[in-house]
Amino acid sequence: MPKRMVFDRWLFFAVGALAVFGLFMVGSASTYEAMTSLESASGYLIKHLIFLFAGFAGLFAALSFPYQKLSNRVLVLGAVLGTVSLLVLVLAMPARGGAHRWLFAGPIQIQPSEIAKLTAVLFMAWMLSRKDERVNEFQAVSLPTLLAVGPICGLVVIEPDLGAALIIGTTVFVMIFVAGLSWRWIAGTSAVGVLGVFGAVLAEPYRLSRINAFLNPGTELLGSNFQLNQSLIAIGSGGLTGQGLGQGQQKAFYIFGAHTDFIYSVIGEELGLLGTIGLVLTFLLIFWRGIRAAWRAPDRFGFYLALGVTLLIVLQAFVHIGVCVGLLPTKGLSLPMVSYGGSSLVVSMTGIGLLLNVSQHSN
Amino acid sequence: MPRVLRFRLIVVCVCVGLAALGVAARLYRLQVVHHDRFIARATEQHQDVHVLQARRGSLLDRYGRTLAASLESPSLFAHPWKVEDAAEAADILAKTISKPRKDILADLSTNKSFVYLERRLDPEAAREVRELGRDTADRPAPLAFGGNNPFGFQKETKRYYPLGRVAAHVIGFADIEGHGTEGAEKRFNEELQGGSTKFLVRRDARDGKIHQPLSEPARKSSDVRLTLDLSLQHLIERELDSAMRRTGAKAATALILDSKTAQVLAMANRPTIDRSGPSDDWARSDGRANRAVEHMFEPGSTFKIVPMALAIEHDTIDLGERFYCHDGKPYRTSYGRTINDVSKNGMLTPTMVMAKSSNIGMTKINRRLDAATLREGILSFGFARRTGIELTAESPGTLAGLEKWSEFTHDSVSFGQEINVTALQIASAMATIANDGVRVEPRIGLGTQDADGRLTLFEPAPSHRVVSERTARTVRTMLEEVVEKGSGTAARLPGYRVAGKSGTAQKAVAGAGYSDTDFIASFAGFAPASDPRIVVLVVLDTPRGTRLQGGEIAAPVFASILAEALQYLRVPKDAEPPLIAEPHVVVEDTREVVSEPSIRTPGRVPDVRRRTLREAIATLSAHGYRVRVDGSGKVVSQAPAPGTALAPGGVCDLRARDAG
Repeated sequence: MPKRMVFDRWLFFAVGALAVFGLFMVGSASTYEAMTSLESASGYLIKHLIFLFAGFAGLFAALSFPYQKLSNRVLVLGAVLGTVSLLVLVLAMPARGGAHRWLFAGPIQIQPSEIAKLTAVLFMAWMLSRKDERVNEFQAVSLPTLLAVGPICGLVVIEPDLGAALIIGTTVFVMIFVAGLSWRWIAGTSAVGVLGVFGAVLAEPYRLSRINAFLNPGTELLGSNFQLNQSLIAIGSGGLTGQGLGQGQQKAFYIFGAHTDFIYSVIGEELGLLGTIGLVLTFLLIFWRGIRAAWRAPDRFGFYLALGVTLLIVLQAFVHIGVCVGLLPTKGLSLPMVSYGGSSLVVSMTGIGLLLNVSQHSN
Repeated sequence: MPRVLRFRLIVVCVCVGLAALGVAARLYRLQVVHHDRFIARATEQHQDVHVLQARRGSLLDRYGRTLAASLESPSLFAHPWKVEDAAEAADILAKTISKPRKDILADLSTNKSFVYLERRLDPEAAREVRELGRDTADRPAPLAFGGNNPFGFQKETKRYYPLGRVAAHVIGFADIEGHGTEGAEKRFNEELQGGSTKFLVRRDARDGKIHQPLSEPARKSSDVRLTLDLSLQHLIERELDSAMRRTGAKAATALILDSKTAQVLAMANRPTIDRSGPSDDWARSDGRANRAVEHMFEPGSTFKIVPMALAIEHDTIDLGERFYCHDGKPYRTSYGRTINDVSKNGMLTPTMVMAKSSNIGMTKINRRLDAATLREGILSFGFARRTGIELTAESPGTLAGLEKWSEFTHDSVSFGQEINVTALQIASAMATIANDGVRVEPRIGLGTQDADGRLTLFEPAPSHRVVSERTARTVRTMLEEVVEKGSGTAARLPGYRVAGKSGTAQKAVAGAGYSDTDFIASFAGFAPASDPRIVVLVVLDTPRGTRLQGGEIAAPVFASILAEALQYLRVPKDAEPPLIAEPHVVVEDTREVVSEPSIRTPGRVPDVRRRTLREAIATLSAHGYRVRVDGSGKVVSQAPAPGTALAPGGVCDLRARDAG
């Protein structure tokens, strides 16, 4: 029988350490950007500190009730509808940097695509926990998924925020995969995926050159564009122990988004291999504790919820890292719990709260 | 949990594990294997070492008047990687700067982050280039300057020589990097240039820069004052020009030395070089040589003062003794040589040998000295070695060694042949006689001057006694005779007793003895004879015309230089009349008649506002003022204000701004 236990200490401390570490790194990586756009070197650090409090508030809020209460048709479908309306609303907002990503509500800015991640996971957990026996029936799983996640992903792509769409899509796909999708379906979907990638490569010549760069080891160390190049220089020049916290030079506008989409590069420069490997291990720890919580979950909903949240965070972390080290094409994705960004931090921490919530119930 | 669920979960875990391994391998490759390469690339883009040279000090005359000064001048640079259309930019720039389009394009096509397109532009050209960065009503700006843009200006210093030809050889010049290349610019380079400050420059990707001093300059740059007196310099330049016109000489040199300190007060040569223009053809100009120290020649009779002084010093002759000078007939020596006098002389005392400049008499006097003593004596007068003056390319002159010394040499030397000297060496020997037998090495550097105008004198020049005071005074009296009734009467001045010696040397023709048409006519001397103040030397190389003797054509130049110089220096006239009575003009106290020691009446600061810095410095220097400059371009304000009374040597502060 499920019994109430204390939440997973390992997970909690790993996330807490990551968040505090993120505070230091945002402080360091954002100094140059903050001096020019906020006219104070610590401008982003202070804002990030406030987000961090909001994040912990979200975490404890997500811990404060039995997670099973979320497995409710009205609530889940309401969340999907709410998210879709936010995603439609955000398209009406003025674009920033060529993308409609932010909802402005007075001093608060919200990124609906971040909320969409959690909504998609919640929907999938709710749906799969009820129908995973019939996972290979189109009407049972695939159709509802397309109906609910399709619009969400589609709207996120329109913003455009390809990175978020990719994370949502992949997380949802892996969840269905774990639920037992037959290999036939997987092969079919993969074929479509490969064709899509192939088409995308042909459409943009630079992608081809990127692949060429991979195949030629000599040129592989030279990134195929300025942004990647600077990221590699940052990480490579970090060496074993790095230049020291705050001592990096690449954040001085060489790297765009030093405190957001390329914070891992700054970590590599300032803390070296110790920092970069340490961070990979921390995310592996979160992954292990997350899968463990799913494994031990007392019910299917808890299982899928924990799995989805874990995938969401770990996938995003690995894509972020993969981009920074040049293993993946450049995508604008933050490093969960570490990068600057209020919506991302609050959503990640809330997700972790749900994960901790599941972890304290075990059969 | 169903089996399939567990299995699929394990697949996911394996995938994540493999991804982590892949990332770790990649990190190892980037951060450990190729760390050095990335460090090199990072350093290349982040850091730079800039060496900032202090502004080169000014060269000043002995009263602080400017001879050479460094002014700020903008240099045009580009960041080639930021230039979008190099071909178009080259088209636009080629119309304004002097660099050919092809070269501009080549510079802009490199992948360097910084190149100079043209260094030290004239203010006018700089203004035109700046104009290219301004929007107008008809068109947007063709080029973008400054800040984060591809083009910009950097202040550098440019060396100006406001005096042009005046003292060009003494001043020399400094190259575009500010290193002295010739003359005083080279010899005082260390003082003028000072040390440099090294900066580590940390660069961000938007061209923000943080300068971090790595080293402080070892030495500060300072101004250097030369011993030149610009007024006297102007005087000899003017006299040389007129002498060149009158005599048709190929070349000429004039020198004024302070007879007590052997400091060079003025030094000029013809041909000369104009340093106010562009520097492109300086290196090729035939007027580049400072003949006063670089050119060797056989001096002829002016050299007779040396063997005469040595004969007196070693007591080999009696001043009452008479020497037979063959009555205008050639004197045939025992070794089969013929020596001639220009004038017809019978029995002459040593004094008259000098006055008549008899080669025969001088030969006979000189034979009483042995070769070793003679040669030693000549060397102690400073011949056949460099004087050590702070100028470049000085020639030591030549004199046969004792092992090659013959009777022929011994006789030749007595009247200034078979010895090669520089003009400065002759002037120095004359100064030794004037200075009662003590030779002071000639110098041209007075001292360094710091930013507050405090003068620190250089070490005094070494000196040594060459002949006794008695000997020197005796020769001095003989030289007065030369001017009073000998070959140098053209050098006489009313009110002053002048000592001097003429020289007319046939120019040696390589392999063919001596020329009958090409001479070097010279006159060297000093005044006042009762208490010598200055030594003046005039050398005319290859004059043309009917009169070619030093006493005929060099002596008048000598006299006009000496007269004006003595007047300018307010040297009191000789108290007692000259040895040979002559109705001399009685002049009142000179100090009331003679003007101030300046070419122009001093007193009021001229208005140089709205003039270019170069013009302003030239004008103020000519008035005898020292100039301190702030900024570049045109003068916007000056202190003290125009019209203010200011004594020569006073400081004028100029503030300048680039026009437009």
